[in-house]
Amino acid sequence: MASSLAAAISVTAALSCCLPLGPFLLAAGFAGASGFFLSLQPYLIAFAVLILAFGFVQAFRARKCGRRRRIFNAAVLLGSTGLVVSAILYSFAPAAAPAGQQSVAALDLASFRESFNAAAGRTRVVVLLSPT
Amino acid sequence: MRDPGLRVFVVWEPVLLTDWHAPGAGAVGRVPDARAQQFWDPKHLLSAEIRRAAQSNETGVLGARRLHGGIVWDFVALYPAGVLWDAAFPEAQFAGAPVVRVIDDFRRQLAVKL
Repeated sequence: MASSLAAAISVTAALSCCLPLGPFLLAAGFAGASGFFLSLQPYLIAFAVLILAFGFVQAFRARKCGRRRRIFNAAVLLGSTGLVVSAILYSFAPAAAPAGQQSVAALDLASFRESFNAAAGRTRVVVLLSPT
Repeated sequence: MRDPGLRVFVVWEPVLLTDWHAPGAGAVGRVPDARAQQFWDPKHLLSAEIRRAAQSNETGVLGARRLHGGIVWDFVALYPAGVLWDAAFPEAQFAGAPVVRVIDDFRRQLAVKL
């Protein structure tokens, strides 16, 4: 809902070529929405970055045209940038293992084999999956 | 079925276009069980090892899955106690893919073991 609203405002504002506010809201909206669409997360974040870049260009052009910088617009720009950066950091940071598990390790075949054989006294399950 | 002796190895690997990076909290959190250990295999090392073993014994290693030159993924295999990984990746008691299609058979096999 928030993303849709952001999108609507952003498109209107971008088309009007008056306020750089819209693209920032859109960027923030997409970054937030990415949490709900895990499989689309990389694309949504890339889109958010693009929209944000567009917002910066708009702001720069407005300044070159001699328009006065508005504190509110600058705050929204910075806020949106912060949100997008947070989303990127959250997305790319290595995930902590759930409680009771060892941390998620990059697979080394020799040590994996060792772990597999070390548990030879138990029933073992091996699962190969794609994260998204 | 909560056997503390069970050991689960979950190996995440990039397969789809959206698998740009190591599994995030959302993916890793899907397997919260303390009996599991999770790995990230960006170079498909385990998949390649399984494929090598399957060249000589496809049905035993891969179960219902048939290789067509691709990556082994969305795959589950069950190994009873005593099975060792020696020269080649071992034959499974039960193996299959995709997981969603074989999960009922897998559960039945696991229930027998535990």
